Amino acid sequence: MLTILAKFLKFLNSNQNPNQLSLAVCFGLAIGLMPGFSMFLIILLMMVCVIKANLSLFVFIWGLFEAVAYIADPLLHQLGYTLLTAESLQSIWTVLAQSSFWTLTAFNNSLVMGSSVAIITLWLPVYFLVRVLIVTYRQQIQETFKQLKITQLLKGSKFFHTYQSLGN
Amino acid sequence: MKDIIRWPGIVFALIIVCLVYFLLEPLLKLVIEQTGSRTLSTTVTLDTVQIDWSEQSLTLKGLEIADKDNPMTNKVEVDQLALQIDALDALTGHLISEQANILGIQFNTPRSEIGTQDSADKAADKSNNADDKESSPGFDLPGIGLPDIDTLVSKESSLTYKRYQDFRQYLDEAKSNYKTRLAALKDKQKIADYKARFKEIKKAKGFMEILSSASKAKDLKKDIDKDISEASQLNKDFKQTKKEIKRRIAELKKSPQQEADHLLQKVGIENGTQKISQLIFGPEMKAQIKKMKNWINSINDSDENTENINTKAPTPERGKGIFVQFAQKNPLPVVWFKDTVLSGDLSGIGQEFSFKGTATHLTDQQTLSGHPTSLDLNLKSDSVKNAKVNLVLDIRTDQKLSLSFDVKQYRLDQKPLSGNFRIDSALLDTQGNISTINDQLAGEINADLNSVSLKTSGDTFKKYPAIEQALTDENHVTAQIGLDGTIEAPQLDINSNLDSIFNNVLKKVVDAQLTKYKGQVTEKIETMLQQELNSSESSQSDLFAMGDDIAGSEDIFKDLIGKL
Repeated sequence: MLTILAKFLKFLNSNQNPNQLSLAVCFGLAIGLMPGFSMFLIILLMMVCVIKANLSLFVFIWGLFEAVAYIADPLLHQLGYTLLTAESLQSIWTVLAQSSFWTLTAFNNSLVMGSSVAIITLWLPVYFLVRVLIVTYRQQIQETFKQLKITQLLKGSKFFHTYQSLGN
Repeated sequence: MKDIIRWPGIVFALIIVCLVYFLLEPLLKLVIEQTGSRTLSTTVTLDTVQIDWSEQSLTLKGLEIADKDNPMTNKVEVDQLALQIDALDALTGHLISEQANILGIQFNTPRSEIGTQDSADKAADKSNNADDKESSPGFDLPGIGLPDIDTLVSKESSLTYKRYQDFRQYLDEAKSNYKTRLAALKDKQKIADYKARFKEIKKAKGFMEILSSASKAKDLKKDIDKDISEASQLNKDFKQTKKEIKRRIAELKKSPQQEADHLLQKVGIENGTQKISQLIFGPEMKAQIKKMKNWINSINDSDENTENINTKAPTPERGKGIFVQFAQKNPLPVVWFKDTVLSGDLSGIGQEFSFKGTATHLTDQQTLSGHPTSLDLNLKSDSVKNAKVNLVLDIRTDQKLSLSFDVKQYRLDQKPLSGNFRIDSALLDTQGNISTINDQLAGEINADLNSVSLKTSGDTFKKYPAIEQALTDENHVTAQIGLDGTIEAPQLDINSNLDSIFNNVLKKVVDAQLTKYKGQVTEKIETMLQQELNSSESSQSDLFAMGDDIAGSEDIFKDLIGKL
């Protein structure tokens, strides 16, 4: 647990591009929420491999959002089911259903639809929010944080050694 | 670009793609085995799966589907199943193939390892098997085992007795009718009244009284004339009735003979109308139709199962969601082999044939493919020169099955036909068409058996070796079989040259016995009739005795007129 927290702080304090960290969070969120039987998942995994995003942070956030997806499952299902059965959208879904590609994505599954909508809705806000938070943290909070007495105390603790060992 | 793209990642992705490419075959093998086993509730195994990307073809080798009820046996085994498939359709769960080869199909082959998953419905299937194993029943030849006379002739069913009852009713009605009419005519009160009126007329004196009497005499004459006319009519009717009674008695006396003829004809003795071919070929034909019925039932069952799967309401599970179905312009069946080359052998299902042929539109959902399934097979074996079978199954709206076949020189050896007959050897040429629509059956089969050696068994012909000899001597048998009715209760109309052979011999053989039997039947009916006629004799005498009274009634009134 300490290692994970230390790793997380390490990413924040590292010189890594905030865009890569934000992307890692977004990909982690997307893959965590997306059910395993959709072809979207494979596409997202391929994108993670190809696009520069912090892999450790991605794995951490993926795990986190698997848990979120489990908890939010009824909500996502309800959202997807409402959209799939909405009268006004039937013509769009029917057109998509004629295509083998879209059938492979399992877009007609309530959970896939709910998750996809949640991912699309959250992607940009999460990306920019995380980016802003990282930049703000690095510019303003990091130095203030270092000056705190508690930080001085922690520097002598096991946690700090763990943190240091990651740097080495 | 360098900031965005992770080049080692691309290499990693490529490695993954290559791994999937190489591992796809064992992966697909696993998927087919697991999905097949789950769907069919029995073990499905495969030796290898080969994918040819350039040809877009999939080859399954060594496919074995275990028998649910017999775990050490494969229900079906296929050596090679090669399909040209559309990869996109396949990925969406539709196995659509323009050209398929299903080679080395075998049934009920032994398995090396136990292969069962679910033993449900075993009992039901066992009962079906028990039905299949029903032995062909033997039969009695009614022409030889002449029916018991008392059973054949009974008052209740006797035509003569019915005729006698009609006669008796006629006699009783006539008797009652004449009695009433005679009583009305010879009414004493009326005659006394006539006499009184006559005396009164005679007493008349003086001009006015004589004048009045003349009018009264005229009225009296009119009444008496009326009675004379009635008496004359009664006499005439009575003579007619007498004649009719005599005619009916004469007819009744002939009736026992007629009835005996009719009865013997009815049991098929007199005119050689026995359908022995029905008894010889019927059980075997019915057994074959029953097999067909079981097969159709199994198709219906699987169809119902499919429907059940489709109509089952989806229940949302955590992490699974619900698949909402949308109308598709061209919905596809799950499995659809448009053109298929077939080969295999039927030894596993008790037929000695191997087969080669083609099938079109093999599918589990004809309503979606929009085509009936058709099979053209050439059957081969050492014992047949040429056999072609065409089967068309159309379950898009009704359950329609059409089977036509043309078999040349099929050697039959030791073929049991019924409990009393078997073909020791024969060469069969047969053509036929059988069709079923839902439960309705129709069809026609022509069979030509050459070089026939027909054997009989049991005690049926013990007393009549000539019949047995005649049947076994016949070396050419033809049969025209008409099928009708329902699959559950098929009606067979079989006409064969065996019928006339049998009936000719039967007639000769049983002629003497038949004459005696006919005499006994006639005698029995005559005795029965005589008893009844005796009981009606007094009734007849009473009626005939009225004759004198009826004849005399006219004279009474003529006397009165004379006096008047």
